[in-house]
Amino acid sequence: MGRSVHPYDDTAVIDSRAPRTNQAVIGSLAMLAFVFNAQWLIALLAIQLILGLTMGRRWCLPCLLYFEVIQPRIGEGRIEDSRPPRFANQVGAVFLSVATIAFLVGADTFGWVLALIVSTLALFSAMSGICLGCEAYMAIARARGMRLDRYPV
Amino acid sequence: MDRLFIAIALLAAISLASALVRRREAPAAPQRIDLGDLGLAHATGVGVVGFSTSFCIPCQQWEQALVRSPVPFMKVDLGERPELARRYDVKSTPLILAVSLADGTVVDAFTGDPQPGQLERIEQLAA
Repeated sequence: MGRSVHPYDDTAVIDSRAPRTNQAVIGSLAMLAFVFNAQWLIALLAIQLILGLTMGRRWCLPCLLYFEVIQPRIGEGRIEDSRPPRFANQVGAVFLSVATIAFLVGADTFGWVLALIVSTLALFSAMSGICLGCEAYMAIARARGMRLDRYPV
Repeated sequence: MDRLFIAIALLAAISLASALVRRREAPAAPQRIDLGDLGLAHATGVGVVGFSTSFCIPCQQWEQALVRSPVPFMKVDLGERPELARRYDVKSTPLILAVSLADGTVVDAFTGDPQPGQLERIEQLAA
């Protein structure tokens, strides 16, 4: 199936199903990490988010899953501005990084609270299609008077 | 075991919240458009106001179809008119409104990709 935007090079926009895939993977794995008390998995998720944000979508495993496996089968979804979901990922990366640090210093409860916040919000976004991190970005953008020419799409 | 219960409870709450939100998120369209907002003169018949944004692919599909149609069409880029997105509570684009040019009453509304029959429906309204 054809693509109207390149998944890795057109970084100003993104197929809206890609962030949802990412949210589903991050949210599910963070929840599993909590159930099995796998603190190392939270650290891995933080690293994964940071890699994707800094090195590009080719380093984001859920993005690869979507763009290489899912999208070729179901076609391209709605194209949207990539800034709001990127901001949501940044927030998730910060929370999971702080959670990892909390585990390292022995503040396990605090770490798990942060991890569960990320898991809950990510799963809610994946299920409902309403990305609260993106909405937060929109609120900030409006407050700063940013030109919102690419959202909503 | 406590962790499993917490996880199950959280998942149940997330599922419930998602279901409620999805139910409330049914695309809402304004009942009426102020034609003066859009610089439209009052006239007779039905025209189309299409709210769009620059990276919205379905908006471009609608636009391509509507400019070939005899129905008067006005595209509103919400990037250039963000105040209209707030005023009419446009949460996503495309939002295609078939509007009475007499008083701005919205007679039909469409969202998402153009579907077979929708353009014909608009043309029927305008006829």
